[in-house]
Amino acid sequence: MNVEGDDGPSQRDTVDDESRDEPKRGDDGYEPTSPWWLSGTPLEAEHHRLMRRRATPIPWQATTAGTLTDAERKRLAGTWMRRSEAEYLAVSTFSVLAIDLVAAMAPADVISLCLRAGIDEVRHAEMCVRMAQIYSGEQNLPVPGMSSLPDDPSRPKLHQALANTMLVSCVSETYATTVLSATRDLTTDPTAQAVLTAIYSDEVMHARLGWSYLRHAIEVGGQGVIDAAAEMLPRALRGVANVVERERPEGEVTEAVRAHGLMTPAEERVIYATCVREVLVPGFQALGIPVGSALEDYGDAWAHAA
Amino acid sequence: MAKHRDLARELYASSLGRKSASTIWRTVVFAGAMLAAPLTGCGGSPKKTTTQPMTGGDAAQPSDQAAQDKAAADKAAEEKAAADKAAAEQAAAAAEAEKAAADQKAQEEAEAKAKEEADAKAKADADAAAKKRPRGGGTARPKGRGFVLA
Repeated sequence: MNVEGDDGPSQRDTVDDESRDEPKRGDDGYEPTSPWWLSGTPLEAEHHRLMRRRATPIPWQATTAGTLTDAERKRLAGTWMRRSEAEYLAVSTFSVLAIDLVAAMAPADVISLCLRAGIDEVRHAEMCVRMAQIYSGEQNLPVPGMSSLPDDPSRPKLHQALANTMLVSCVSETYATTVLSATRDLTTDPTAQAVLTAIYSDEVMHARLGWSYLRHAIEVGGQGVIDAAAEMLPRALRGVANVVERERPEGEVTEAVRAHGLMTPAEERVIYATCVREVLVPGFQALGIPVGSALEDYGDAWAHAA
Repeated sequence: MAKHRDLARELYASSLGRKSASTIWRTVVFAGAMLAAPLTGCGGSPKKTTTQPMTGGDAAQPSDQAAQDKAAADKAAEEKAAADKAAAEQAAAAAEAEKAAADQKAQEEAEAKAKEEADAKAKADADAAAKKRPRGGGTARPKGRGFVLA
């Protein structure tokens, strides 16, 4: 693929697009998100300083949760709680990925961004916990979970780092940005919209990290890396598909619920299939990585199977 | 009416996520992997540049006034250096004798310690080879992670 040709956008287009998507960050309007979840020690001050640096103002008081029925609030509380669990799990995922990257002597910028991603996920988990509290009125913590990234000590460290970067960043985070972007387009509740936007803007960088490292790894490791990437691709796509196919909390996704940032499982399938077809496959192909049967595996039949 | 609704749903389904996918292609994949120079091919060496270490002479760009000041300072420094040198030589001789004695003792200790460590390392290596890496994972399939939408 001619990456500088007419098929692709210009650098200016790309940068402009991102700046439009990036909400204002910094000290303005920062408030502790879920203070009851903190340690109650002087560490809290440092935590707030860390979070404040990349915080986006969230209009917590503007929520329209009060207009929903009990069933709708319950449905939303269940989903935001599951989101908090996924975000909390991602803290350990990026931590483990950082270990793989360090072992593979990844460039400093890749490692620093990976570690920062873990901190971003802490902030996301806090936001999701607070959203769940808005709908349920209860202060609940996410259930504990630990990363289960594949580990194969027999393969070269570069291939190990590359494989998990593909799973975590290239596929999972790229899909997350796609689905978050689509979801926030239909979200009208101001609080939910702001939270989704804040998470989305972080996920863009989490995903970009993977694509950049993938390119770097190919330049360093050549054909061996391409072969390892091709081997990992179906597992990575399946890993994220497992999340899309997972059962959901009980309760109907009404129009009011949708306005608070939910889609139906059927819609998610369509978005994942679209992401595979229009983002992931073209991306891997542009880097010379064979994609096998990805388009068939996650084509129309899979998208409309639910 | 029902047909219209079905048609609208079909149209919506076919376009669902396409705008987002297009945006993500530009902001994530293209910006992450392709904005720099085109991929040159497999196995290309990473960009590296060599630099010369900076020395005092290289770093300094003295003006005329600075050169005069330097000459005066050099003269004073020479006089001071001569006096310091004698004292330093005497101190160095004492330190050298002291260091030789310490080195002798350290060498004897190091040899004993090295043997002990070599034995311990051989045992640790054998143990580690039999163990899985501590971060685990093994051959388990990825369970997947991602933003849980609903």
